[in-house]
Amino acid sequence: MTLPPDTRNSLIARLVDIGDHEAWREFAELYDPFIYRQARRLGLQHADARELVQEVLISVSKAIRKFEIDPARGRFRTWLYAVGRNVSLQYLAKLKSRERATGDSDVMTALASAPAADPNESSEMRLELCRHVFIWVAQRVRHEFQTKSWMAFWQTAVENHSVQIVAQNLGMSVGSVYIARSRVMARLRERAQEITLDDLPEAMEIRHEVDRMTSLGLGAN
Amino acid sequence: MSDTYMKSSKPNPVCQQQPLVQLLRDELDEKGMERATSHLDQCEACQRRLTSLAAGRSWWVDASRWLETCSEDLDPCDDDSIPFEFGEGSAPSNAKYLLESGLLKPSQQEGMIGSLGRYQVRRIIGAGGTGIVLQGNDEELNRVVAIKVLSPWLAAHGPARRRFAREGQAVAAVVHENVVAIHHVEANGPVPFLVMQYIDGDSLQDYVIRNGPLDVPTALRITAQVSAALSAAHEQGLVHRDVKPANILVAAAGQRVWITDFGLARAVDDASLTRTGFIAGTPHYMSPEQARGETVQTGSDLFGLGSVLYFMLTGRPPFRAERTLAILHRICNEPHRPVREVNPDVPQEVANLLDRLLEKDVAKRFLKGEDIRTECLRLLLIRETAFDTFSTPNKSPRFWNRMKYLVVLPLLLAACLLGSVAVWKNALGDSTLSSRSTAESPVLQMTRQKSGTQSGPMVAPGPRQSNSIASTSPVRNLSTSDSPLPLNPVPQPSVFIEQSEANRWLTEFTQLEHEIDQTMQSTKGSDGFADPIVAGSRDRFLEVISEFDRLLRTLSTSNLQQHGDKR
Repeated sequence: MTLPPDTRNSLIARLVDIGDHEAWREFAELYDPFIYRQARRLGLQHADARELVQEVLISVSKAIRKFEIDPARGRFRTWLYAVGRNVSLQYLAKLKSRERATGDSDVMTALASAPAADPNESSEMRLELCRHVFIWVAQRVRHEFQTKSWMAFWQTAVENHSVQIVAQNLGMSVGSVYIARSRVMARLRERAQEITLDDLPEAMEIRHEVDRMTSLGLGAN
Repeated sequence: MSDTYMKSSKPNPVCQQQPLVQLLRDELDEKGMERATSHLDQCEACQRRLTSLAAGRSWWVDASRWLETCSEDLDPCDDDSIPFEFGEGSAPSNAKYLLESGLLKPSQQEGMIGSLGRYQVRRIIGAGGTGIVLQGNDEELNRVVAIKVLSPWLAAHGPARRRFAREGQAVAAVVHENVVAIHHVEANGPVPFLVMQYIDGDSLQDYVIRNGPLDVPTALRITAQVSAALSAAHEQGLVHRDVKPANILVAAAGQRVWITDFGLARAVDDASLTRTGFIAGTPHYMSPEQARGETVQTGSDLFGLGSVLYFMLTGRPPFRAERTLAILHRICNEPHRPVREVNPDVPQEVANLLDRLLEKDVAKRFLKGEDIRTECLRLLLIRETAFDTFSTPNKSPRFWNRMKYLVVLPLLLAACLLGSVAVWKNALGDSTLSSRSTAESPVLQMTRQKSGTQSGPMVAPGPRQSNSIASTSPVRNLSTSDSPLPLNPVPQPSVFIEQSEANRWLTEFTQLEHEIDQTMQSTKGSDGFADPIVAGSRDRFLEVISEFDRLLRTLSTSNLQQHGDKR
C-alpha cells in the first residue's frame, strides 16, 4: 500500500500545520525501526513490515488531525509519542494474535478487523519498546554532552567501574565525575519519560486521551 | 571540568545548602559550580543525593542493563571510529593498527613504524576527529614533515574526502609565515593524505593547560600573529571556521605560532558541502552565527580568535557549560564573563579589545584581521614601554587612566638600531626563524629589544611574570638558543605622549614597518631568507633604519611631553 502523492502532501501539510515538524520527524525516527523490527520478528517479510510501519504512521497522523494544542495537558511531542506508542503496540499485538507468518496482500485488512488485543499479550513488546526507547534516547542525548562527560557516565553506570578509578582514568575529580554522570542520567530519564510516559504526572490523562484517539484513528482506516 | 577541581581543605558546608538541583540542570555560575564540585569530591551523602536526584534506582539499573547490550553503538571508546588513544604507551598498538589496516606499508628502515608513499613514518603525533597526524621523513628532499591521513571511515565517505582534498588545496593557496605550509596533497589514492610542514612544538591548548595563562604581551603577540594569518586566508576567500587553541601551534623555541587544520575551512563561495546540518567545529570556540547555523563569514573566525585570546589570558574558554546545547545557548545569548573578573592583571584596553572580538553581532566586531593586528601592536607598544603600569592597574587606576598612552623614547633609539640590525642579521643567518613575520614585525622586535637593553640582563624576571613564549629578542634567540626561555624585562617608562601623538606616531611607525617589510621581501628568495641579500636592498634597508632613527629623534625632542610623576 503506497500513499498517493496528494495524500502524502496533505499529510505533511497537516503535520506542518501542527507546527512541530521536528517532533514528527523524531517520532518517525523512533518508531519506524521499532515497528519494523517487531514486525519482522513476528514473521512479516520486508515489504509487509514496511507497509505495517506506514500504516501505523498514517493512523497516528489521523489522530494528529484531531489533536488540539492544549498547553495545560502537556506538550504535543509527548502526546505524539504516546499515540505512537499505543498505536504501534496495538497493531503489533493484533498481528501477533493473528499469527501471520507471511504477509499476503490483504494482511492489513485482516489486521484492521482483528479483535482488540489482550494488554498482557503485548507486555513483552512493551518491554522491548522501553529498551528501544532507552537506547534511542541515549544515542541522541550522547551528542548533547562532551565526550568526557559521556565517558564518565558510561564507565561508571554501564560498565560499573568505581567512580574513583574512572575519575583517575579521565583526569577528572571525583566530584566532577558524579556531576557529569548524574547530568547524563537525568537527561536520559527526562527524555525517556517523555516517550514512555513512565512517572510523568500527566501520564494517566494522556494515556486516556491516547486510547480515545487511537480508536478513532484505527476506526477511520 | 578538571580545571575547576580544587581540593577543599575547609570543613564541609552544610549539605542542605548544596544546590544540587541547579547543579544537575547546569544552572550554577562558575563560582557555585566550583564550590559544589569540591564539596562533591568529599561528601558521600551528597554524592548519593545527587545520584538519586538524577534518577531513581530502577533507572540506573535499566541504563546498565539496556545500554550494555548496544555498547557497539554507544561506547565512547568507539567515538569517531578511531582506534586511538592519546595516552602514552599506546603507540605500538596504534602503529600495529595502521599496518594491519593497510594505511602504512612495513618499513625497511630501523626506527620507522612504516612507510606511506615516499615518506618514512617515524611516529604518530596525534589523532583527531578527521584524521591521524604522523611525523615522517621525506626521503627525496630529506626533510621532516607532518603527514595528515584522513581517517579510514571518512576516506570511504565521498563528502569527507572532498572536504579533505579541499583543505589541501585551500591551504596550499595561503602562503603565510603563520600558516602551516602544505607541501603535497594526495587526494585520490586509496589513502588520502596531506604532507605539511613539521612544527616542533605544541598546540596552544596544551601549552596553556600545562603552563597556565599567558602574560598579556605574549597573548597579544600571538593574537597579532594569528590575526595576520587569518587576514591572509580571508584575502584568499578562505574562512577557517574552527579557530581554537588546539589548532594553533606554538614553536618549541617559542617565537612564533602557526594556524593549522583548515579541516573545516572552505572557500566562502563554495556552496557544495554546506547545510549538511551537522555541527562542524568545537562548540566552545564557535561564533554565535555558527552556533545558530547561519552563514559563516570571515567575522566568525575573528570571534574564534577572541575566544582564543580569552583562553590565553584566563586558561578557559569564554563560554563554558556541560552540554553542547548549553554552550551554544551561552554563546548566542549570554555575555561572556568579563575577562578582568577572571584575571585582574588584564588591562582594561585589552579587555575592550576582547569585548569587541566577542561581540554577538558580527557587524559590531572587528571587520578585518588586519585591524586586530594593528590594535594588538598598538597595545603592545604601550605595554612594552610601561610594563609595570600596564600589568598592575589595580594599584594605581587613576594614574593608569591619565597615562593611557605613554611611550618611552630616550633609550629607545639605540636599542631600536640594535634590534634592526638583529633583524637584518637574522635574515641573513637563519631561514627558519622568520624575522619578517608580519606580527613579529621588526618594529616590535626593536621595541622589545629596547626594553632589554634598558633593564640590563634579560633574565631579570618581571614582578608578575607568568610565562612568556614570544618575548625574547631575536638577538638573544640567535646567540643563546639553548638557554631557558627568558622572562620579560621591566622597562622604566620615563616619557609620555598624548593619545593623538601616539596615534600619529603609530601611523608613521606602521608605514616604516611596511617599508622594512618590503625591503625584506625583496631580499627574500624562493627559499626564505637564506638567499644572499643584494647590495641594493641592503642599502635601502639601512636607509629605512636611519629614517626611523630620524623619526625617533623628532618625536623625542618636539612632540613629547615630559611627565615628572613616576610611580
